[in-house]
Amino acid sequence: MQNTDLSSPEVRKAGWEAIGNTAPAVKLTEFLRKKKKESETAERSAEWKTRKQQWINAVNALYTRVEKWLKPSIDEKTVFTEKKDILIEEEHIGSYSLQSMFLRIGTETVELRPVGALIIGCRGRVDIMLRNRSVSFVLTEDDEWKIVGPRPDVRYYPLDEEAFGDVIMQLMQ
Amino acid sequence: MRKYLPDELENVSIRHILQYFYDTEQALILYEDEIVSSAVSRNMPTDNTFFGLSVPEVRERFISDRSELGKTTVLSLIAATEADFRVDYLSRVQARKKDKISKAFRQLFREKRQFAALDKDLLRVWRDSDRELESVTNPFVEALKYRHWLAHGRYWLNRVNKSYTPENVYLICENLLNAVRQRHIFYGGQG
Repeated sequence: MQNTDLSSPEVRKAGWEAIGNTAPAVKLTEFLRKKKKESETAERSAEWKTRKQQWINAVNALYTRVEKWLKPSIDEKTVFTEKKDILIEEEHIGSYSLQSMFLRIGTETVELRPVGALIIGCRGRVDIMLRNRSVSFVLTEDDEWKIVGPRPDVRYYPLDEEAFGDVIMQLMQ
Repeated sequence: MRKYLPDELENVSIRHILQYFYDTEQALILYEDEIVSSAVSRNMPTDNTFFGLSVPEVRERFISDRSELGKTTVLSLIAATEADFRVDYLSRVQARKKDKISKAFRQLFREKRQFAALDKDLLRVWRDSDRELESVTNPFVEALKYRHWLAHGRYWLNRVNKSYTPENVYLICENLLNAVRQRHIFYGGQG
C-alpha cells in the first residue's frame, strides 16, 4: 500500500534542489533540535526526575482516593480492584514503570490508565476507559485532578466522589 | 478568433507548489515544536486546541497533518501539470497552428471540445507524435491513478502499489514538462 508520507532523504534532496534551493530545510530544524537536547544540563535532568516522581505520587494518590470512594462497593464485593505494572516512555523523562488500576464490576472491567506527565496545559493525564469509551482525568498546575470535558470545547471539572461516580455510570451505560 | 482560454490564467507552476509544500511543512514543524515545548516548559499553549493531549498524541497529529499536506500537494502538482497540457491544447486550437500536434488537437477538439481526456486524448496525441516522450509520459500516467483516487475523495481502496510523495511526483511532472519543452514548442505555463 502506498502512502504520501515523507520521501526518502535522497528523493527529498532531489526535490528540494530541483526548485533551486541549496540546503535541505528540514535538516536545520533537526540540527537545532539536537543541539537543544545536547545542551540540557544535569540540573535539567534532576528537574525531570522530580517531575516524574511528583507525577507517580499524584497517580498513586488518585488511586488511593478512588479506593476510598469505592470502599463500600469493595467491601460488599461488588467491585474488585487490581493493579498491574505498565511501562511508560516519554520524551525527556525516559521509560519508567507505573501501575494501571482495574475496577472489575460484574463482567465489565474499567481501567484507569496513566498516559504520562508530558501533557499539554497540565501536569499529567490518566484515562479511565471501558471498551471503546474513555474520559480523561488531568493533573492541573495546582496539583488537583480534574475531569476534561468533551472536545472541542475543552473545559475541566473538579474530580470528586460524586463526579467520579457519574463518570463510572456514564462509561457503563 | 474564438477564445477558449481566459485572458488571465490562475494556474500556478509546479515549482511554486513544491516551494509552498516546503514552507507549509516547515511551519507545521515549528508549530509542533511550540506545542510540545509548552508541555516541557509547563507554559499554557497559545490556544487550547491541544489541551490535555500527550506529546506522542500531538506528534501523531502533526504526522497526520504532514501526510495530509503531502497528499494535497501531490494532487496540486498533478493538477498543475494537467493544466499546462490543457492550456497548450486550447492555445493550439485557438491559434490554428499548422504543425502536426496542433492539427491532431484541432481534430480532437472537433470531437470532444474542452472535454478531451488528459491521458487517453491529449497525452496520446503527444505520444503518437513523438515516441521518445513515452518514457516520461508513462510514469505520469501511472501517477494519474493515484491522483484519481485523491481527487475523488479516496472512497475506494487504493490499489496503487507505488509510494507517491511531493518530491517524486514533482520530479515526474518536471521530467515530463521539460522533455516536452525541450523537444517541442509548448504553450502550457512556465512551470
